[in-house]
Amino acid sequence: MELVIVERVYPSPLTDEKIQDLRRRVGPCFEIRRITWQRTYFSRDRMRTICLYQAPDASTVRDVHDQEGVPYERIWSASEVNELPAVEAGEGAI
Amino acid sequence: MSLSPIQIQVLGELQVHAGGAPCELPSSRKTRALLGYLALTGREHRREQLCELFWDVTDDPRAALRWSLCKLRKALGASGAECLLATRSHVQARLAPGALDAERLRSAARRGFSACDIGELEALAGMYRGELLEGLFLPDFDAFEAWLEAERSEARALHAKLRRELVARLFAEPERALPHARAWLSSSASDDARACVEQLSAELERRASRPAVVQPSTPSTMGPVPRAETPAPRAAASDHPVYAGAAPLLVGRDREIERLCRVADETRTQRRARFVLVLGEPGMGKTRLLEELCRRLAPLAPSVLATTCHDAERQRPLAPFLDAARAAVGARASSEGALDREQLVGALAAAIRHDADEHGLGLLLLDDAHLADPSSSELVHYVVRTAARSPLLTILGCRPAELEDNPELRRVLLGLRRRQAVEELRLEPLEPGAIAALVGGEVPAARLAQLVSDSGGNPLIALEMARAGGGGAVPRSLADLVLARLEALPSEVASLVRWAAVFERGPIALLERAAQARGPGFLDALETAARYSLVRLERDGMVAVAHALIQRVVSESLSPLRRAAMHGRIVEVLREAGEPDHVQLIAHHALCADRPDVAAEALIDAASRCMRVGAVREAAELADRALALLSRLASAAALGVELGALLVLVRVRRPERPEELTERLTALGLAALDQGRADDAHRAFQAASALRWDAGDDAYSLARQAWQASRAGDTSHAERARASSFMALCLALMEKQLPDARALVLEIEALARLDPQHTEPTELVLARAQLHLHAGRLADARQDARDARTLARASHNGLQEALALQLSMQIELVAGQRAAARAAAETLAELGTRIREGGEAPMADAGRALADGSLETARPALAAAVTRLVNVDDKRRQSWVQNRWARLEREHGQAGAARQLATLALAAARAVEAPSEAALATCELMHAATRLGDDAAYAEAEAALAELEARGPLSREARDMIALTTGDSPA
Repeated sequence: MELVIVERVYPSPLTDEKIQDLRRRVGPCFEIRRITWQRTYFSRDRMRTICLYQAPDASTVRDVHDQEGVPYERIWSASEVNELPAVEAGEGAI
Repeated sequence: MSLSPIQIQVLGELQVHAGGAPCELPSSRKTRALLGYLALTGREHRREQLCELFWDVTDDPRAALRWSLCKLRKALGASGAECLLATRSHVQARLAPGALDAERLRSAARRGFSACDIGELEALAGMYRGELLEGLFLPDFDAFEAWLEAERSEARALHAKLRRELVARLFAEPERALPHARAWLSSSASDDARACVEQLSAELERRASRPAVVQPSTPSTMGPVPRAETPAPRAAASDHPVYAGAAPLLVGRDREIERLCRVADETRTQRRARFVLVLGEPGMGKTRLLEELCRRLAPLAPSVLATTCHDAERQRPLAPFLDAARAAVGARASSEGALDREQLVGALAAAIRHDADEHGLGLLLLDDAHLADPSSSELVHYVVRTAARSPLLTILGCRPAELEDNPELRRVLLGLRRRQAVEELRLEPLEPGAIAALVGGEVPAARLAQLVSDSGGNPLIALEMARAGGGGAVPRSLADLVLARLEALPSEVASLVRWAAVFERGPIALLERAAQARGPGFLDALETAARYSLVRLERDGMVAVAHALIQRVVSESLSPLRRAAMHGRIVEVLREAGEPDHVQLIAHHALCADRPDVAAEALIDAASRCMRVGAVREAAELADRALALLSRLASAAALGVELGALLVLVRVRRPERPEELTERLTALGLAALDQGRADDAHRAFQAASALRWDAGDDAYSLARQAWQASRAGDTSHAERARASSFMALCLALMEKQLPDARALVLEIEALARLDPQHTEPTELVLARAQLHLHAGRLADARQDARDARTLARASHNGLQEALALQLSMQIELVAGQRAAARAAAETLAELGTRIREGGEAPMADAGRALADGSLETARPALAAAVTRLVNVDDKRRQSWVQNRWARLEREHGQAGAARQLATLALAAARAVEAPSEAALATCELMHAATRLGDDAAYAEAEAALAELEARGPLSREARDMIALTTGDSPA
């Protein structure tokens, strides 16, 4: 399974009702397509989110969003990196 | 083609030898059963039939069949390929003559065991190692079990016959004969066999106790030697329930009995079948005449098939013969459910012919034949027609007026009249002298003349008058006579007779429960009623009213309200008993009790049961009768009954107007949905799907969660249609639960029709195109893809348009229409770059490259497309492209490159659970392994392929590829 990132931007702050509506719209298809929500990061103004999913591929997540008309900025598969390469002296960390 | 040297033994546990060496058979019991079935039947079978027989619950029975055939071929080695012939549509096991032990036995039996020498007989006997196909029972597969039981029964019968012949031949050598006699006894448990075992054992003991002086040429002094090839006598006439007990005197029918005896004698001497219809009004003595005939002919016809029809059993196929069959075919008839109607008819007809030929005269008697069910009429017709050259005398006792009400029997008689003479014997009123002789001892001389005159020559009326005539005025009508007798009886006896009259015929225990009269009082009353000739106690704990006329009189004497209440009570008792055999009785009594809901339910149940035993006509008739009750049912009950009846009719009768039936089923499904009856809706859509798609090889079930999703809340038809369409498209694209997707498509089509302004949702048309492509229906897929694109453009939905274009491109590539594929790919490429950063554009580039067909120019484009697909992480499209690329490499002899690509395609297909793409990749790996000589890789891929096939139906493209790869015919 892939770690799939979904970036979203909203024109107004995201409310709990809107979140529920999104979940209702994409929920059944997520189940059939074996997409599992992992976690979501909200910006402080709740106008940006980054969602993490486990899915067979990014295209599957993309298809569900497009077919259900759920907006997104980008959807991409990610690799998790736990150890960064060594840093030369004088260079800052990322 | 040379036939295989394979030897198959089925008389015992299944064993196979190839070239003299034993083969290790697959561990799957079903696979071994398949081999046994193919070997024993020896003929071609349609794949669908085999699938129904062995895999009716598997998702993809054809793949399961292919898997089993594959295992069998492996097990049988090189010879297996010659032995198992599988074409696109049929499968057959072709064995060399003598290769199957059961066939050798049958062949010897056909020639006659008497024509075989003793060595041959002993060799045949040595082939028996146990029960036929021992251990290969498949308890959940009724049709196979029924077939197996029939085969076993036949094998046991042949075994008994063979041993009997051996015992007869070796009777003078008890030590050789005794093992055969024991084997005979174990296979048939007949009295003859038991007697032989006892005699042979006694003779051996006697010889052991004295000095052995063996004189083979000396005739045995033991008891009678069994006659070779003579079956043990079946139930003699006097054993039959109809003729049990001391028969009353037959008076005044000398001329009729002599005529029948003469016909019987001519039947015997001319060895030609005869058919006689004995016609007579109620009470004229038809039953008694047949009893007397049986008695007189007993020495000439030691076995008789004599039975009676009953009104209450008119809905039960072959009911009168099921009782008789217990004597005729023994164990095979022990359970009606295990017998197919055709098997029973065949077995009975063969037994009747055999006995007639064997004994020089056979008797088939059917009393009250005007009450015969259609199957019994058909059986009579079949027996008489097929026994034309056998000395068989068939006699039907009928009431002329009621014969007119039985169209099936009239048709049979018409057919028989065309083929051969149907002789009629009409029972006229008895002469006054005969009536006087009949009742003379019971009536005072002063009243005799009046009684003779009042009876009108009807012996039953005369007897009833005599029995009622204790003094005073003699009642004039038969009804009065019977009722007067009833009134004179103790109240508990009269009550019992009334219950019996309403019951007509049934188990004593149930009558006891219905009458709510338990204990010794009930039994005393029953005995009294029997002694007064009002009821008749039959074998197997059954009770019936002594005469149909008495039954009618007593039953009609009850007030309609009381009679209906008694029928209602009987329905309750029958339902409590829970015997599957009782469903027809429940229907009959429920109708009489004015309980149409219960009757309709029982009729549906009975129809389903008839269907299971192959009584197709009865099933259709019962379903029609249930439909006729619809107007009397509440709407909720009517829906279930109509649906149940139509589901039966769909299976047993080819619909004249399938479109109308599909629409009706769909409407019923929707109505069931509205009533919240998901199961009924499921069955309706399932049947409608089967009709609509006319596949026959797919079983449909509706996805519950999809239904719930589409039906949540008070949504409009359009909203429900769209929600279901979306689900159907989702399932179709994911290649998951495809039968559910198909059923959803059907449901949505029906929903869309309910909306006069309806336009089919684009998702629905896309789903249909995808499903058509999966099934290989390219023309339909092409049309739907075009329509979907038009709809998508109209709604400015670029994503759906891209999907439609992609489908068009894929369809044309499968169809080999490169120009059309390229055109679709060009448009998709242009659209794909506009709509989103996804797999559409690289997919289009790959399609364009594949449509060009040149490997050299395609390679860079395909590599670029794959790279982009990997980057956007679109594994489904990635596996599609890599599979086609791998095929292109293989076609150009590049096995190594093809293998690399197929490996990547397989990994991607597995990740997104795309079984058809995984199968295509696996086939490429098998091709590459063959080309590279890598046996281990081939075996691994082959096992993976079988697993994929077993999981579910693959696309037509994948199935064709599998056929090409494995050499098997495509399903």
